Amino acid sequence: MASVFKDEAFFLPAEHTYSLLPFRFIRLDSDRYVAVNEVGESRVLLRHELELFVKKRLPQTSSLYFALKASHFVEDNDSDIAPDLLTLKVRSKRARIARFTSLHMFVVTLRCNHSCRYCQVSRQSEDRSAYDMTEATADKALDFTFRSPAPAIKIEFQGGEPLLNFDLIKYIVLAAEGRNTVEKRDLVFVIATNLSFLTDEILNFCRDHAILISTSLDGPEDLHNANRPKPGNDSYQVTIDGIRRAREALGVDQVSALMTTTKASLLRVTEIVDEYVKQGFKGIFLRNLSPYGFAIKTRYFNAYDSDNWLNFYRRGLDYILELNQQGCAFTEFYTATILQKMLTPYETGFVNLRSPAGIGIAGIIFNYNGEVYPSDEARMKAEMGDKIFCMGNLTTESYEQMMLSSALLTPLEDSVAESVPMCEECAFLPYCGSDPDYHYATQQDFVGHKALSGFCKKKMGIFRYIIHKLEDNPEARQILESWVNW
Amino acid sequence: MNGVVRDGDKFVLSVDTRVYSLEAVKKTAYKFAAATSIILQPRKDEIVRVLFNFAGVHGRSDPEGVISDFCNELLDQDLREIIKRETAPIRNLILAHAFSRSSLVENNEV
Repeated sequence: MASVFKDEAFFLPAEHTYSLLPFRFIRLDSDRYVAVNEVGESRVLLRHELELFVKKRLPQTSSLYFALKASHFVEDNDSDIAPDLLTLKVRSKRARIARFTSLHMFVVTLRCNHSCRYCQVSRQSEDRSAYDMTEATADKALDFTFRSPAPAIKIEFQGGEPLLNFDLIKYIVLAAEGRNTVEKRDLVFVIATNLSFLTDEILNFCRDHAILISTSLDGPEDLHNANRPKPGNDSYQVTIDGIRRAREALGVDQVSALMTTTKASLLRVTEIVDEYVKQGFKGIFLRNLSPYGFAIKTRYFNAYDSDNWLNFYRRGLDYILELNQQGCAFTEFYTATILQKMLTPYETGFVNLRSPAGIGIAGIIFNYNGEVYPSDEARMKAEMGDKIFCMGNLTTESYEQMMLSSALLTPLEDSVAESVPMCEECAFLPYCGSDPDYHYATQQDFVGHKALSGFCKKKMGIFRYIIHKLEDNPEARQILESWVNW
Repeated sequence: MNGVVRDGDKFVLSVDTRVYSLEAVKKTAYKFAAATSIILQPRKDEIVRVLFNFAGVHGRSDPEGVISDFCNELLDQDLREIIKRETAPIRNLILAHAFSRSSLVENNEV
């Protein structure tokens, strides 16, 4: 009598009936490759597994096949939903482009009391009021700002030392708030300051208008003071006192700090992290020097190479993970930004981790003299005499003229990584971005040869290290996943 | 190293373009700009000679290691071509669909 049941083989998928969906791959280490799909979902696999998969010889009953199917690397007769899901995720990833320029930086003065050797800003001495922005220029900058369709607008005051022109900050804040009664944007203010000129009047104003404070803290006292010279050689103490006062007046979470890595920092990453923990910060952004402005002129940028910085970063991340394992919740913010791209369908606002780059369309900067630049780095380059990125001047050009200027559109078009040699086939493309400022500064070309690019080398090193942690260290993975906003 | 001959201060690898496409060879060569300078010389018999020069700024590179990595990358490029060939239509469809009803397009239409 014939069985009423079919053989087990009947219920198995037919062989070789799957179709590949778009993905890229790259060697992770000597044995393994990482495959990444269009929206950043990834799978680590051996070379022969990759080849079996691509050549349609991977058994459709294998766990690897199911894992690849779950991450939308493949579709088969059982399910054709993957392209639709990928489409939705692509839309989510790209949604930020349509939101357009959010960050608007106002250089209210170039004057500064510090003379940091690596400073990316062309500083002027404190007493030269010729380098202050005027109210008339600020008004035009605000006109420009509110032309952006972005639902969220962040106005960041920069310098020099912006508190040296605090009257103009007050003027801009009040004027922006006035306009916003009609505009109804999500309006946020930030002052990027060294805190030297903090007064009770300033703190009261910041408290009344919910202004955030962002300062610089390069590490322990001797390192900070060596990096950030000022008359009296007391920059560290001024900063620490300022952080304490600002927190008391505004709240702990209203005050943040940034560090810059100099050659003197390279062997001291644990001390730098300890300093941030000691000062009560919840995390740190391990930030390398950029090849702009005075950092180039003073040769500080060339003081260490990509390998030096990557070693610094890896040791820092390892130490931060150790701290977390010991119960100290502390985040490395750059890693967290990349993890956001790796583990969620959401894009970051980080200008240089976007394709096209965020220059002009994520952030824009108004120089004290009315000149408009698509990034702070572009403005710094102009201070060194090269105005290639200058989009125009608020006093003479319209919003349309500047946003459609070749100074913006040419580097922006060149920053679409999907059409850049090497980037277009790189598995890390969904995690990476473009930096036309960097490549122009180092190779005199907005695109740059990525095989020779320090930007590329650093990013690849970081991506590989994070993937190693996620893949090989379950405890680290748990901590890293906790840094992501789902 | 098999398949590699030394020609003065250069190393020469012969690649059969019936096995690897010229585009794959070119893409691979582009990637190695930091380690060596490469010249591609086509021959009449569908062989491309890949000349590796380790002089000057590339003097500190390890020729054997670089050429070995070059061959591995060439294999990878071949695999990438298969993926690209098979997935280009669906990739274009996904991207077209993803942007088809986005506000970017709507704004342009206003």
